[in-house]
Amino acid sequence: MIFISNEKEKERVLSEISKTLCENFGLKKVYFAESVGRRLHHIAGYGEESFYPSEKFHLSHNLYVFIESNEELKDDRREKILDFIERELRRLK
Amino acid sequence: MLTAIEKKWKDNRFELIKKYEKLEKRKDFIDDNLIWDLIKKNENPEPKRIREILSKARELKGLTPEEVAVLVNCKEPELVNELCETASYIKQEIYGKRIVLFAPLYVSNTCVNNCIYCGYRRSNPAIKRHTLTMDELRDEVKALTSVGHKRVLAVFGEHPNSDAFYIAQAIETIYETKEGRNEIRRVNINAAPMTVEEYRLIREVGIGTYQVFQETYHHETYKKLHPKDTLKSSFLWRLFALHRAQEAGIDDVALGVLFGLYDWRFEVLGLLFHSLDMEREFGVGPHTISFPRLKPAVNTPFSTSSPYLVSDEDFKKIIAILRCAVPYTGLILTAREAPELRKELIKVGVSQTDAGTRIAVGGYRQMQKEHIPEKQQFLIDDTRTLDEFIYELLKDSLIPSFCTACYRCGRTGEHFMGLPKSAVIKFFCTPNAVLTFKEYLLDYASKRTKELGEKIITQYINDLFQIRPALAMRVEEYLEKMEDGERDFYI
Repeated sequence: MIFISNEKEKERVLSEISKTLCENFGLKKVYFAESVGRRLHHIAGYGEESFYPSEKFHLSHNLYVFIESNEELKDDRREKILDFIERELRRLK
Repeated sequence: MLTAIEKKWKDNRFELIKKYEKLEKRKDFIDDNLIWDLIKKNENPEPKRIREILSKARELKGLTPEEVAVLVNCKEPELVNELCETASYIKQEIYGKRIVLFAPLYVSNTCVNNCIYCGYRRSNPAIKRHTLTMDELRDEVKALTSVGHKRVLAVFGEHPNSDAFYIAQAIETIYETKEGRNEIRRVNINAAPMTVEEYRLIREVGIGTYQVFQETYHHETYKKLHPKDTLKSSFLWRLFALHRAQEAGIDDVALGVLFGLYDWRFEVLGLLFHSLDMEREFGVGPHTISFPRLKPAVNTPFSTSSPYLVSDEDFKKIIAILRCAVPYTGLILTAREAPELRKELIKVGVSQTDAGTRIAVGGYRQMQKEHIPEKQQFLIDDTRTLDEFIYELLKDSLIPSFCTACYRCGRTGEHFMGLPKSAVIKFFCTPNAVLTFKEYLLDYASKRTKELGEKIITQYINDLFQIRPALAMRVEEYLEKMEDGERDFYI
């Protein structure tokens, strides 16, 4: 759950996290989306579209992250990425 | 005559619209004189000029209003052919063989407006009025999904019975209605203009695309056809409806014109100016454009006597021009048109269409009836079943799509439009079309459709292996899982 009431600020923070992930974890693209009803609504992201299937992770009750990599994520790498996101989001609480 | 409750609701809303008109800071971007000047200035264009514009259109960068004004004046049969060929080329380059299918779902036909051309106008006694209860709506959804539909366009009249709260409840009900594997995965809406707060309400329940048609962009005609004591009389309230929807966070919005109310050349430019203004303010144009033609409606003389009814030839030209002008915007054709014509129009640029359509309120539960005129807004010319329609598409090697992946992956609005559309369609939309079509073949198709459909999927996978082996393997893996009973895969 992200406790940022201002939409612009939320976009900025999530863009930054996406950018850091791409740069430090060698990912092609990362973007965040929130669920509204059955729709996943794009919030912010970073990177270049690879046109390969992305992996989707549910982060909190309405927040999701999509990760595109050149290769399928190995378990330990996936864990590190998700740990990083969780840490960053916790910092915002 | 309106009841006391209807009148009170209408008067309150009328006041709200008047207040809005005073506060709206946006400038009306439809300049009638400018549009007519553009059309007149470019009458009788040189063939060389037309060919230059068509050549530019082939670069897939869209056209300016001035260039569109030239094309609407293109009359020479040879040049019109070249225009249609260019549009077909653009369609093929960007959209390939995929065509998205949906079903319109008329939820209510009660309306406080009195539009001269509309069968649902309040003063038309020939229409049997009804707003579906949530139970009736569930039955309609079950009837629709039992034949394979996954996407609906829910249509509402402007009335206290179908206000924003009702619309939100209807969207939730449609999503919740499931029977075995049958379900709707994307609910698009066609409803009257609302306030930003009301749009937020329907965004929260997961609307797909929000659609509102201006009907006509010509101010004088708009005024004449929408009586001044009605909610629809405000040109600006309607013109900026999609801007307000965007403000509320609904980022897939859709434009439309009812062709036949005014000179079609003017309306095509109106659509373009609307699209450009949305791009200017929000950085993203409309998701789709619809171009229904005025059709006969019960006890509605204007629907057959309008001086601006559009011929089949001009209609084809309209679609071809729009395809050239806004290459990346989805174009929606409806079952108002006859089967043979639809086949031809799909080739010149249509990317979405409805199928197995019944437009009477409660019409899907009465599928055996082709028309229920006293419950319909107008009459439709294509009453084929979904399976019959799909079989015809397959004969033209087209791939039907029931895909709803983009809005379930956050690929919407600016984020989606910023990507090269041809690549998006090639590497996301078409594989997803194949995956959803496979579901249709497994769960709903007739024998002949299944046989032909499987051949087309095999061919597609073979082609995909040549250009994108990793993606082809993933699609194949999903197809196998579907054979084993799993569902709802997407890239």
